Amino acid sequence: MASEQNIQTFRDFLTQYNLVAEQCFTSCVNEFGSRTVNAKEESCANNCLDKFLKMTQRVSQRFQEHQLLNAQANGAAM
Amino acid sequence: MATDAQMQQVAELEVEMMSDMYRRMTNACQAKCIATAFKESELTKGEAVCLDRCVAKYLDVHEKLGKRLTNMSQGDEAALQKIAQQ
Repeated sequence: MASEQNIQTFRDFLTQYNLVAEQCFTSCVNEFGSRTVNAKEESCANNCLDKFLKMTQRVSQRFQEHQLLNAQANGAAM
Repeated sequence: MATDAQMQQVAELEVEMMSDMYRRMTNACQAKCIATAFKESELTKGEAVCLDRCVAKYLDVHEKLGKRLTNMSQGDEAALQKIAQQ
């Protein structure tokens, strides 16, 4: 069922979301003088999220390129 | 059209992800707030206050990033629809 795939994709997305929230919190929020997130922390977290997304895109592109090269190399060898 | 089974799965997924977030938040706040010297078993006042604020901040960051992600994917979807219509 296509919907199984959708659920799995959605699950992966949510897991990544939780992961990036944890990582960005850990990197960006280092003082607990108040209960509210200040502007510097917020901007850091936004940058962190954007960078994370760009990083995963780039990693995915390079990986696909490598897969393609591997497939071609294997194809040529046969 | 979402079937009942699918709605059930999404609900279960949400519970699972909430638990996952809770676990991560607990780990993060322990790392931030609890010293590792362990001279005593009670939480110090400082640790307790830190934990309160840490939870508040973690949930705030989690929510803000979630909104940002949603906006981004809505933007992507809109762009994709535009392309599909052309």
